[in-house]
Parts: sequence; C-alpha cells; structure tokens
Amino acid sequence: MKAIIRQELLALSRERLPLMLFTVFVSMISVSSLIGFLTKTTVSDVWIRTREAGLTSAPNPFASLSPLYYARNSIIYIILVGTLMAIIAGVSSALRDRKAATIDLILSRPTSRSAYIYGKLIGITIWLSLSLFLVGVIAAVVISIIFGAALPASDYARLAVFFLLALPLLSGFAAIGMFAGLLSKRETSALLLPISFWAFVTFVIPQIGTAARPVALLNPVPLPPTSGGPFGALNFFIGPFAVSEQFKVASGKILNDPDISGDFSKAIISILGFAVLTSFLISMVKRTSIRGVLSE
Amino acid sequence: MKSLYVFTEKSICRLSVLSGTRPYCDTMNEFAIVTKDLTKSYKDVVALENLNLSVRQGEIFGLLGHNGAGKTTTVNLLTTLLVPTSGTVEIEGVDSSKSAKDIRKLIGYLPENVQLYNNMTTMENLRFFANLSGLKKPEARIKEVLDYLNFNSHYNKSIGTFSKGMRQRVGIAQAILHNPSVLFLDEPTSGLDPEGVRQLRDVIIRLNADLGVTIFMNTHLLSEVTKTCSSIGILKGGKLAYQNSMNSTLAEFPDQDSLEDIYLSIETAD
Repeated sequence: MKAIIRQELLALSRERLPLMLFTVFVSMISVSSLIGFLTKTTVSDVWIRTREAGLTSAPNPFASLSPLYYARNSIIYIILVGTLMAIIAGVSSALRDRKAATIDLILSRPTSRSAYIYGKLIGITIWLSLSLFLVGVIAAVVISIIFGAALPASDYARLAVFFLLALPLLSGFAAIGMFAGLLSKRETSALLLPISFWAFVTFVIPQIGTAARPVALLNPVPLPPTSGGPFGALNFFIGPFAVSEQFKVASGKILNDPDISGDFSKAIISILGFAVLTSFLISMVKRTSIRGVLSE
Repeated sequence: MKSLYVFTEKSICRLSVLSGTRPYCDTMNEFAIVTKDLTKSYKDVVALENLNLSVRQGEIFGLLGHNGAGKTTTVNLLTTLLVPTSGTVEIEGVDSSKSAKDIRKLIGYLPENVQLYNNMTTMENLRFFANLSGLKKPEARIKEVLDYLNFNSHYNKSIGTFSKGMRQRVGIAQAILHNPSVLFLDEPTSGLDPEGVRQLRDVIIRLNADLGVTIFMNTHLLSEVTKTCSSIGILKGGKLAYQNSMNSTLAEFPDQDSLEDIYLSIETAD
C-alpha cells in the first residue's frame, strides 16, 4: 500500500488540474484575508479621522470583532473550491491508471484491490491535508497581520481544528470522485457525475428543508432550518445529508461566529459519517470495474 | 544477495532479488504453465472453452489466433487478472484459485499498448512497479535491468518523450525487475517499426537465454513467432486447435512453405 500512496502523492504533485485548483484555493484564502485586511484598515482609518475631526461616530465595527472573524470566508472557499479540488483529485487518481493502461500491471502484482483503492484514497487525503495545512498557515499569518499581533493560543487552536474538520469533508468528496472515476466508462461522465452530486448536496438539499426562508447559499452563514411543519420535518431527515451546510454550522461554532445557529454535534456526526460512508462506498467497486477500458 | 522464498505446494522456489539469475526451485516443475479445462464465459458468450495447455520450463511459447480467438482472455486468466468460470491454472505448480497472490510474485507481465506514466521519468515509473513487487530501495536493481536492456541513458528522462519502442523497453524492464520465472507478453511487437520489432525480439531471446525465463507471448506476427518461439499453440474460436514445439510443427507440415501457411491450414480446417 505504501507504494500506491507514494505514487499518488508524486502524481498529484505533477498533474495540472488538481494543481491549478490548489493554486486557486490558496489564492482565494490569501486574497480573502487581504480583502479583510484592507477593509479593516480603511474603515478604521475613516473612524480614526472622524474621531480626530471631533465628529461623533458609532463605535468602530472592527474593534469588537474576534480575530477569527477574518477566517469566516475560508468556510465558503473550502466548500466551493476545496471540495471541487478534492473531487478532481479523486477523479484524476481513479482515471490515471486506466488512461496509462497500467492498471493491469498493478493488479498483476501482489497488490490487493482494497490496498490499491485505499492506498489511493490515503494518498489523496495526505495531499489534501498538506494543502489544508498550507492554507491554514497562510490564514493564521494573514489574520495575525490584520489583528496586528499574535493571536491568543486558543484562537490558533480553533483555526487548526477548523482546517482539521475540513479534511473529512474534502476526503469524502475525493472518495466520491474516485468512485465515479473507477466506475465510469467515459472520462467526461467521470467528471460530470461527482460534480453534479456536489452541486446537489451543496445547493439543492439545503434548499429543500429551508425553502420558507431562503438565504444566499454562497454565504458562510448556513441556511436557518425551518422549525415545525412539513419543511421542518423534511429538514429533520434531509438536513444531515446537506454536508456542506453542516460544515458551515460546525465551522461557525468552532470560529466563534455569533451569527451561526445549529446543532454542533449533529453537524460533526454528519461530516464524519459522510467521510466513513464514502470510503465504504469505494470499497465496493469490483476488480472488473477498476480494469474497465475508457471508451474515449 | 537478497532472496525471496516462495513456498508452494509442490516446490520451494528461491527468487533472487538482486541477481540476474533465473529463479531456482528445489523441486523444479517440468511445466511452468499448466491449464486444465480452463473456461471463461461472459454471460452467454464463451470466450475460452476447456483450454488444456502446458508450457515447459524455459520455453518461449507463442499463442496464435485471429482477433477474438481468446488470446488476451487466456493471458488475463494466466496472470490472475481474470477469474476462470471453471478449470484451473497452475504457474510453477501454484494453483491460481488457491493462491493468486503467490502467482503474482512469480510472474512478469507486459500488456498490449501499455502507456506508463507520461509525466514521470523512467526511474520513477520503474521504482513504483518495483515497490509494488516488494523490492525495497530498488534503484540499484533498476539500473542493473536498464543496463541489461541498454537503456541506462534514458534513466532520468520523461516517458512522455519516448517512442512506442522505447516505452515497450521500459515495459519489459518493469516486467523483469523482480526476477519473475514466467513472463507474459501480450502482442509485444504491436505498433512497433521494423527496427523496434528487431530490438524487442533480441531482448526476448536474450532474456530467455541468459536468465532462463519462461516466456508466454500472444502475437499476430507469424514471422516473429518463427524467429522467437520454441513452441506454439493456436487458438480457434476459444478452443486450442493445435499445440506443439516449433521444430515438430515444421516437420509435421512438410508441404507448407512457412508458419503462415501452417497457421492458415490449421485455422481453416474444420
């Protein structure tokens, strides 16, 4: 299995599409922090000049904010860019050996099907955790710069837990990408199916249980669930499957966001359950499917 | 010299990991490959029916047949990539139904049209396959094999820049890294130019002569079979229509001018 993991890491470091998405991911996290920094500096400058001019003003809105507030947008970038990066990594990984016609070389060696599949998934998970680590370090450094001093240790710990929680979410989507890549007969469907699944989980399911009070989905604040009535009942059953929304709830709680409401433990169970379920799903792919020839 | 011991029902084979010598078996089987009533069906289609085949140790065996005759299915069954519907496969006395993993340690395989990883070097490609075969720190062994194949100058070059013939050479290298006792080649000369065909033929003959590796190859090129193989089998509609040594085959059909004529006479016979 070690050989598969090592090969996976080497291949992912050389492939264009996952690397491109990784660059976008890192750039967006950095840019979002930069925008936060510029906003804070501009507003604070205006506030200071207003006070210096002897004018009355409402309190500086940034004065009372927790430094972790600036990590808030990272939630949405993980859900939008991070998960797509994970899906692409999973699909690329599953298709690579079929496209290079090396799958028979691998399976004719003393390597079991499960070692092959899980070796790849572990390799991708290590790659994702390295990506999250880098993004986390960038976020921590930029937030410290915005804050103007080193953050309290507890805030760094919260940031670390937040990025750590992103790992099972991304790993689950990578497994979905792998599943599609291992089963699909065409490269295009291998990409389209998991992206459609992602769109359904991220944009459609959250709306089903909360249609009475829709909120912009591209907002780090999760949709408020409807209580009672048919939408409430529907949300009770479907809500846990909206894993991206559950990630917003759990992340918001970890980052001390005052706007977040929701059940933290239910959100954690939903995210971990998603990772376990998807890794179980790929274990069911048969040897004959793995060896299937791509028709394009 | 490091050694890997493979315990089988009938023999104890020592596969030398770092030497270029043929695996030594305390109780050497007479036959490297034996199939008994080997059958593979896909729903209603029988791809291979009751194949009874035996290939002696150290032979270069050529399996001939039209497209769809069942050649690739046979290789896939022998390399444990497919599970037979019925019948048995024994490689070096090891039964595939009982210990497919042990068989995989004994064989090397080069499928048709292998592309390898284009964005990696020869070394990176080979290190991956060596590690999969259980070789630890295989760099020295990789250099040894590439040297043997006169390919050392391409050690650190990207596979993406290679011609089909060069890729086949790397393909051969990955197949022999772990000193297999049986080598399976599926249409090894497919798509090669005449020079590439000649080079590959020389490699196959050298591997057999120097290392004593039993070689099982599927091919369409009958001229290559004549120059390379010591025995042949002909598949027809999923059944073995003929098997004999090359010399006996040529003696058996004195009226035919070439192997091509012999093949066609067997192929067209009822």
